[in-house]
Amino acid sequence: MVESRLNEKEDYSVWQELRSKAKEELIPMIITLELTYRCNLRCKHCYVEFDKGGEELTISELDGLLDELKEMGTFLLILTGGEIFLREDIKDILIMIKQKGFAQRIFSNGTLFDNSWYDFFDDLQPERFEISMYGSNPEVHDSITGKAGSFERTANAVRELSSRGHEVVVKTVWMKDNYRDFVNWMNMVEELTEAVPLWTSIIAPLDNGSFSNRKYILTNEQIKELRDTQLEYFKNKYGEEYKIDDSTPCDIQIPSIPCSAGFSYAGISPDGCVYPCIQIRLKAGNIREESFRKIWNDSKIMNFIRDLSNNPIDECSKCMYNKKCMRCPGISWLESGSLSVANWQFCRQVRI
Amino acid sequence: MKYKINPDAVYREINGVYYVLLPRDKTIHRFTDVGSLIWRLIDKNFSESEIIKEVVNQYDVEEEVVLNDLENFIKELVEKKILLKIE
Ligand SMILES: C[S@@+](CC[C@H](N)C(=O)[O-])C[C@H]1O[C@@H](n2cnc3c(N)ncnc32)[C@H](O)[C@@H]1O
Ligand code: SF4
Ligand code: SF4
Repeated sequence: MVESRLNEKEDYSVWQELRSKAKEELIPMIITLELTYRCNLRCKHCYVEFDKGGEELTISELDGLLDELKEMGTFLLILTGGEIFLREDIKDILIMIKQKGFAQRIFSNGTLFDNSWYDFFDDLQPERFEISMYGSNPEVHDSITGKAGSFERTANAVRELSSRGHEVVVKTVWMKDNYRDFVNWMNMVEELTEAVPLWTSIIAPLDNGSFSNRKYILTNEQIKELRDTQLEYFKNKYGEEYKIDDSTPCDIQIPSIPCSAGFSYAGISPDGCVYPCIQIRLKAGNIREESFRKIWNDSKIMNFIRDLSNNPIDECSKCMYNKKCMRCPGISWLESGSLSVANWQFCRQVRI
Repeated sequence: MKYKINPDAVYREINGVYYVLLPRDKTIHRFTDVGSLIWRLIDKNFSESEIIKEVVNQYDVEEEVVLNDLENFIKELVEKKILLKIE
C-alpha cells in the first residue's frame, strides 16, 4: 500500500509528480524565505541589497505565516539571505519550521558554524544544505568574498556537514576572477563531499536595479575557454562517450514563464513582501498587510504571471537551441524590464 | 504494536494522495488511495480498531482482510522508517 519508489538521487519520478500536481493545482509547494539581507561577507557579484531588507519579520510573524503556508500545502522552504545565521533567533526559527512539519533547505556561506551548530543540525535534519564556494583555495575564494579566512571556514563547514551524512551541494558562480579554477574546484568538491556540484555563469543584476556587477561576467572567449576545459574534464572522467548534446531545430512554443514561479513557487523577502520568484521582483503584496493566501490567490501580479504562461515568446519558440536553453524569465526581467524576451547571457551560452 | 510518526517525516496530501519525504534517508514515497486513507487516520491518532472500522466502511471489505492489510502496511511503514516503534 505504500507504493513507495526511490532513492531520490536515483529516481526523481515521485518528486516530479508532486511538483507537477502542485503546479496544476496552484499549490505553493516551494517557498523561498529570505530571512535577512544582512551578510558578513561582500561577494563581488552578489545581487543582495545589503542591510536594505526593511524591518525583518519577527518570529511570531513567521509563526503565523508558516501556519498559513502549511494549510495551503507548502512542502519545502528554501531559507536564504543574506546570511541567515546572522539572525539572533535563527535557531528558534529553524526549530519552529521543523516542528510545523516542513522540509527545509538551507542556503549559507557556512562561515558562522561552530561545533554546537553541527550537533544542532544532526537533530534538525534539513533536506539539504547549499553552500557557496568560489574557488579551490583562499586566494581565489577570499578575493571574491572580500573576507580573509572565509575559505577555511566554508571548506570546514562543507567537510563537517558532509561527514555527518548531510546532503551538501557546493555551488559556485563562474566569473572572470575564478573560471580558470574549474578543474581544481571540481577536485576539491569531490574531496569534500559526495553531493553533486552546482554552478552557473549567469550573473543577475543587483536587486536595486543596477548592473554594476556586469563587469565580472565572462567574455565570449572566456565562456568558450571554460566550456572547453569542462568538456576535457568530463571526457577524462567519463571517457569518450561524454558529449554535450548538439541542438536540433525544434518547433515548440516557449512560454514567457517556463518555470513554476507563481504556480507552485513564490519568494518572500525579509520584510514580508511576496514575489512570484526572488528574481522576479514584482511585488504581489505584503503579508503584514494581507494574508499570504489572499496574495497568492487574488493579487494582480500572481494572476498576471499565470496568464503570461500562455504567452509564447516568438524569438525563443523559433530558436534552434530552445530545448537545451535554461532561460530564466527573472534575468530577462531584471535586465530589460520584460519577462517575455530572450536574454543575451543565455543566448550566447548555448551558442558558444 | 505501538508506534509514532517519525518526527523527521514531512508529508502532505494532494487530491487525497499522501507524499512523504524522509530527509535523513533522502527518500520520498507516494501512498496508494487506501494507504493515504490509513495514513490520514494514523495522523489523527485513530486507534487500530477505529482505522479498521473506517476502512471497512469506506471500501466495503471484510474486517479480516483489512486487518491483514493494515498489519502489512504498518510493517512496511516501520521498515521504511516512516513510523517508529515505541516501547
Ligand atoms: C544570495 S546568496 C545567499 C545565501 C548564502 N549567503 C550564500 O552565499 O550561499 C545565494 C546564492 O546566490 C548566488 N548569487 C549571488 N549574487 C548573484 C548574482 N548576481 N548572480 C547569480 N548568482 C548570484 C550566490 O553565489 C549564492 O550561491
Ligand atoms: S555570502 Fe551569500 S549573501 Fe553574502 S555576499 Fe556572498 S553571495 Fe551574497
Ligand atoms: S537561446 Fe536565446 S532565443 Fe534561444 S531559447 Fe534561449 S533565450 Fe530564447
